[in-house]
Amino acid sequence: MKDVYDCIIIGAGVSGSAIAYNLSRYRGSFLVLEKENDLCEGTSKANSAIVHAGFDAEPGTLMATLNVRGSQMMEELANNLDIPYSRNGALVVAKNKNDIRKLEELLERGKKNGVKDLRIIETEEIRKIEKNINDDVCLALYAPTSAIICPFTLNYALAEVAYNNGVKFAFNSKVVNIIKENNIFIISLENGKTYKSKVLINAAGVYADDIHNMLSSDKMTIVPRKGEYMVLDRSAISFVKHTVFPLPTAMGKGILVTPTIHGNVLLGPTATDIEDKNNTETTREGQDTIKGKCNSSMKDVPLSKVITSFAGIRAHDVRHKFTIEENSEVKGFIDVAGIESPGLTSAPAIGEMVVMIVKNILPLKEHHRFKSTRKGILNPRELDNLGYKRLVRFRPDYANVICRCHKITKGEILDSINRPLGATTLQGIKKRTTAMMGICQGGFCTFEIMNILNEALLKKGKSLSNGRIS
Amino acid sequence: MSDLKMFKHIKEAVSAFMGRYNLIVLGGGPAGLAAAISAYDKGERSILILEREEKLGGVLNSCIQDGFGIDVFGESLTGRDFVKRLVDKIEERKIAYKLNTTVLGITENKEIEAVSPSDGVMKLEARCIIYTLGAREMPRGSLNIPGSRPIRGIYSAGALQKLLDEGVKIDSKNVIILGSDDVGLSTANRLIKMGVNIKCVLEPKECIYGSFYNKEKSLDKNNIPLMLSHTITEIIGKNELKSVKVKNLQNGNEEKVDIDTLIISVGLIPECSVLNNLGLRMSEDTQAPIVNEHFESDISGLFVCGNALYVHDIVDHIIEEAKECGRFAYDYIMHREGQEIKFEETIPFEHSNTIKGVVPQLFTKSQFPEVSVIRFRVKSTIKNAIIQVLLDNKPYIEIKRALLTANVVYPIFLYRQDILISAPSSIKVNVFSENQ
Repeated sequence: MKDVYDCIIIGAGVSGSAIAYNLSRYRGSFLVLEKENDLCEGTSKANSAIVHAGFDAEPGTLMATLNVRGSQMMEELANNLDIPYSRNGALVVAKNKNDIRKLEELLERGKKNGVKDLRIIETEEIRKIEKNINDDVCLALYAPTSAIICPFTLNYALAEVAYNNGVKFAFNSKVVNIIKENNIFIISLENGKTYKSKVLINAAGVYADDIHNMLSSDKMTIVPRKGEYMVLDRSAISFVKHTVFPLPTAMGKGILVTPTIHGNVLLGPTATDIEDKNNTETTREGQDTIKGKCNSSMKDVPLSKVITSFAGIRAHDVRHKFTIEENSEVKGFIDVAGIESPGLTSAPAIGEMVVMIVKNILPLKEHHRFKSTRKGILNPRELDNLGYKRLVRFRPDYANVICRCHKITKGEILDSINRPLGATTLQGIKKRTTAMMGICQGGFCTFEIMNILNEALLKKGKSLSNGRIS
Repeated sequence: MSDLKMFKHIKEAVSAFMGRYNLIVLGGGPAGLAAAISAYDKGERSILILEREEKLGGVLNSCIQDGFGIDVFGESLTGRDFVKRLVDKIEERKIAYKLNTTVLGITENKEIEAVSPSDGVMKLEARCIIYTLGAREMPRGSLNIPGSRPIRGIYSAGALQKLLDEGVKIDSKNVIILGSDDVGLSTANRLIKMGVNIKCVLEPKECIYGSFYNKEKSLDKNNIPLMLSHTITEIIGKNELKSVKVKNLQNGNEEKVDIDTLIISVGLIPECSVLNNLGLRMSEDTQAPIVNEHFESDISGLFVCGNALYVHDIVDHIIEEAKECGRFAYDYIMHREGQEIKFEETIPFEHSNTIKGVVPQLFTKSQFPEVSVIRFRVKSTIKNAIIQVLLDNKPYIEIKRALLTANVVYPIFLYRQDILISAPSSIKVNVFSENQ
């Protein structure tokens, strides 16, 4: 264990991982502390998975700048880091001719924010590009630069590259106390360990206020805002092409209907402020709201194809803004707080920005052996016939189909466990491979996957943590 | 052996070596096995069965209670013994099969892409395919029950049965089963024998989903209450299941009940995702491909039977149906291959909206078999029922039944001579209560 780290980041969600990724370009000792047993366990695993174009955020705000910058960076990042991504475009739809003003407002905002190719389109064109749009939709803002991405892989890929370039990660490391002594942060964990660092970065998501308030007298309040979603089976994929939004309201972007990068259809999110930051339960009201509202923009949403529903908590700052800055009172302490939508989109840009802040505090020298790319888990279904045949000859595990719904093979599952920062739980395998996320929701394959995990962990000298069958 | 027979044998062996078969059966469960045996007995020798598990038999391998085979073998057998009888016939006839083989896709030219650890990737060609991949359970996610998503404590019945087969120890103390389909009832029976306490079986409908026989055997004999018109409205418990909210749908009362295990058995859906790319017409009622009286889908030579076509109630009926299908497949290979059925020749089947799904959904005038069995289920209980078949709106059959329930698949027999004589352009099945 290093004595004093240059930087410690609290939180291994997409923000923390993006910061780690950017920091790893430089020489230094960096550590990420994550309270859960894996990366991507907070809001990063339960969101709309949209790379927003940037017309929604208010011009001049940090949200707007980082949204657009993230949106511009994402395609290249996805290529370099092998992240599933697709620029499918978005539509914000209106049903009233009078609402053209609201669309024009978004258009103006978008233009001011630097979003390219935005335009307002009418009924005929809307129907041509999105055949199941509701009959009474007459106008839409079309944003061709909007995209969909795999939020899990984005998180994992950023962290993996950071790790490969020397950043350390500690899991099951919940921070319970922080003090600053002689310009060094002393961070105490629930498990009794202590770490020290020169710079401390608070990327703790919904808990960013708790972390902030351990050090700063200027109290921060993050309101947990729950968003529920419903997922439709892959057989519904032809139902919708673009990410379809209703007109935005004070509570947010509204309930969207969107394809996902993995071929499902996603409906949601709702927006309800709650008390308990841990409450990720879905509710009857929330699910009913989704069912009611999704048919507003689209007609005859195939709700019978629902395969699961989930809820995520957004870190909502009551002022509806990102706080990404060195604390004025506590030098060396950088907040990355209030990262609600467009948080996922902004992540690469947040990573950039935070590192610039760090550079003002610490002298950072570039890491000449920085490896900026990575290859993700090999997907045998993307190989051509010959390629697949060859693969299977060397690695018969890739011919052993475990998840029948998504045709995920043993080879992929092993890769997800054995690669750097690999899975140690069923949930971890699920997010890295999409196994168990299909129509049977793990009914057929959970047992086999557990066996594979157990075997692989035993080889590594570890044991199964949270995948036990009762 | 005559020269011609020898030649045929060699030709078939060479074709098989090159991945070409006359008949490929997808799925080695009861339907697939029965269809293959039937085709063989009629004369087909170039047959291959593809099965994704490491043994043949499908879900019946998990069924330790008896009641199977009364029609087919004249005995009441356990699921496993029933399977053994079928597998013995396969082995006797030396019908080829591949295990641990997953079908990845089918083309409209009846080419099959499959993969297995031992054979790697396979591209197989068939002159005729019988698709019997069975049906899949509906998990909690499809029911969209709100609440927590605990990692431990919620299982679909079939998945739990499989765990038990593998020797996994279940330490459940308080169990509720949601849904009364046969898989759930069998699971109840099995768990009770292991000393697990099952509080009750909840059934959202007003009638049991599984068979009455199974109810008696699994629930009544074990004093497990069946609560009709009851469902679960919320799941509570972050990492482990702690309790559920049970709702009485008749009076709206909701009650919180502490349990550690919830078993879901609300019914099966035909497993047809592998057929998605073929653009086959699908029946909204059965969620499976539309077929004609020969069990043939829109693609000529692609047959569907068993639970993949229609969720059956009794395995013996599946065997009957699969035997028919096997014979039709042989006839297809021998006589009808390459003949497209003209659209004008097909008669769609209409039915009253008291019926939930009729199989088959089409008839072909020119090739109507001697006897054709139509199977249907009613949506809800009908007392003093009249089952009517109308040919061109004229009554052809009228049957009276005191009680029809949604958990039974009812047959109607149609005879070729009657069809040929009346040459109808529409056939309708009506079911209604005399009391109306």
